[in-house]
Amino acid sequence: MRGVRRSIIPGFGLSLGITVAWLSIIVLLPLSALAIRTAGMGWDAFVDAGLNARAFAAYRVSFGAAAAAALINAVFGTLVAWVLVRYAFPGRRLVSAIVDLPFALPTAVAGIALTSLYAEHGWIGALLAPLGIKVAFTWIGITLALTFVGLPFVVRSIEPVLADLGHDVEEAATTLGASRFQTFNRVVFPAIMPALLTGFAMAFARGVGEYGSVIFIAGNMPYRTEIAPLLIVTQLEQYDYAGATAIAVILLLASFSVLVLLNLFQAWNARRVGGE
Amino acid sequence: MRRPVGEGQGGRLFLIVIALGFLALMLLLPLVTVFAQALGQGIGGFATAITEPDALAAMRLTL
Repeated sequence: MRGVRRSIIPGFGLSLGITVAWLSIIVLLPLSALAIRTAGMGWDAFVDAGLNARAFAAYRVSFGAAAAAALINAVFGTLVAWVLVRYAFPGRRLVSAIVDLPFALPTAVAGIALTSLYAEHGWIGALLAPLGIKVAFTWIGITLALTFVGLPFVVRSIEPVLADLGHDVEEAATTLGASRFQTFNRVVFPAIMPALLTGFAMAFARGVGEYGSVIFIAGNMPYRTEIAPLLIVTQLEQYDYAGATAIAVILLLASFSVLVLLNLFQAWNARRVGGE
Repeated sequence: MRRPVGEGQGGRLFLIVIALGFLALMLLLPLVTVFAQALGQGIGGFATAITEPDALAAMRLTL
């Protein structure tokens, strides 16, 4: 530590060491195993396993449905957070507890429940079938399942920010002549925007990798409703470990780029809002 | 508590109804289905299923 200005807070070396060691064991080690396996398989085999037509169709299903679900959650999750924080109504605490349900319910159970609800003879599926709308075993069902698992991420990231945002800023906006919509658009929304983006990104990332809740309702038809994580499991069941890791690496790279892009946007947005 | 600034009674009710409706449809209904299916064969069937040795061992590991 010679030559470096020491922090006021003691124990920097120890805490940094523990943090880095822990992260390496839990996160970096599995990731490097993934990289090593892929590096060993050669470029042609990698392209063959990870970039064929069936895999591309699966990426499209996974990323498309995850993005759609995260968007739905961004809209309704913000609304739910707003209602939970701002309004008093009977049963508010119970509703708040229910929001965490997707975390508590095993994903496979959620998947089976959703499938039996939306299948042709299920409670909701039977209502939609005469209208010609099929939910189970289509991409709508996949989006629905991903919306289910992603909702708490958005609600729980926005809630504390909304709770911290004092009424005084809104009151100030009103005294300056802003309409209710202008107040939300120009005062409240910029404040919750970073949290909303974080929630969106987490819901999206979770959706891309989600397996348990989706496989039942997806129908798993190759090229149409087959999700990328299922393709990985399929490869593993055929003892094609290299093929599975190739798909995993591509999923990882794509997810990671989306997260980096969102972070860049957030940094840009913070500069724009803060620098005005 | 009445705030000087905020949505009116109607707007408030409208937002609450939409939010709760969404939650009921997305979260509550699947939960109800789970319980309906678990208890569909009566309490007896539910009790036999969760006291099987396999089920007990799996639950111990998970929790």
